[in-house]
Amino acid sequence: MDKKDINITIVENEDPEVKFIKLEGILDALTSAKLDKFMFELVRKGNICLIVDCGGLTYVNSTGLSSLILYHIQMKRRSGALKLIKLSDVIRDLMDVSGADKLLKIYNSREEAEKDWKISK
Amino acid sequence: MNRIKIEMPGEFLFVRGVRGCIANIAHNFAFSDREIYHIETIVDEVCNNAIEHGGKKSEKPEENIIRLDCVFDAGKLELAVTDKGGEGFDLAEMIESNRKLAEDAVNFNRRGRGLLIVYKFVDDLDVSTNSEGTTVRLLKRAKNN
Repeated sequence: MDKKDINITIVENEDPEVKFIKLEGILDALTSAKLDKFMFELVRKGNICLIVDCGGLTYVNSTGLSSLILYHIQMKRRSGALKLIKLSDVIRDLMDVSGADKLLKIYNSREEAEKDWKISK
Repeated sequence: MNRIKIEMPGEFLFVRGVRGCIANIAHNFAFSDREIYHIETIVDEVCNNAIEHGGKKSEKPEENIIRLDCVFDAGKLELAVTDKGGEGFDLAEMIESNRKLAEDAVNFNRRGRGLLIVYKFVDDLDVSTNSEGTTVRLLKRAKNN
């Protein structure tokens, strides 16, 4: 994996309504367009839950945060959801000071995020 | 005095290298790993802001220069970032407007979170404008120093 890029992997999941996505690397002004391109199709489908594993992200800035908020809003408008898991302490700091934590849905584990999706349906 | 001056073209392409360079140097000045991440973010956001809002752009890319002046001391970083923009902005007004914007899911805007993050991560922040351009000055202190 190129450490200066963002690596996006979609992990197979039994439930077709829940897509599990793994992000690794850097999410900033140079890589957010790559994530936008990837998410566009998924978000357009709607009515699904995207669980985004952020455990492999080494750096995120305000541009990357704004992208995540945008997908969250778009998913919600299409009766879907975007849920973030495995955020590092420094990325949580960023969410906290930017107010993003009030908009985004953050969970400690994949199980917790899936459970919340099932309850909300 | 531990002073570093950097001049970079006003292009996003160069920001990653510059923020990484300053963050690496900060390792030698008693900042914690978390504070070093904050320093990298501060440099990133201030430079991106200078590129995006740095006033009228010259047609000659070599004239769209951003200047960084960093002074390091034990547990202390003073940073000034100057762009060619002459319009400047009211810091308090901008922070307040960004704060409202940041938590507004209805009128979502991709912009505006950067300066808010900088404001929360630093110990002092100031903006001034003169004939040379707009300068953002900030102070970051290590908490355990």
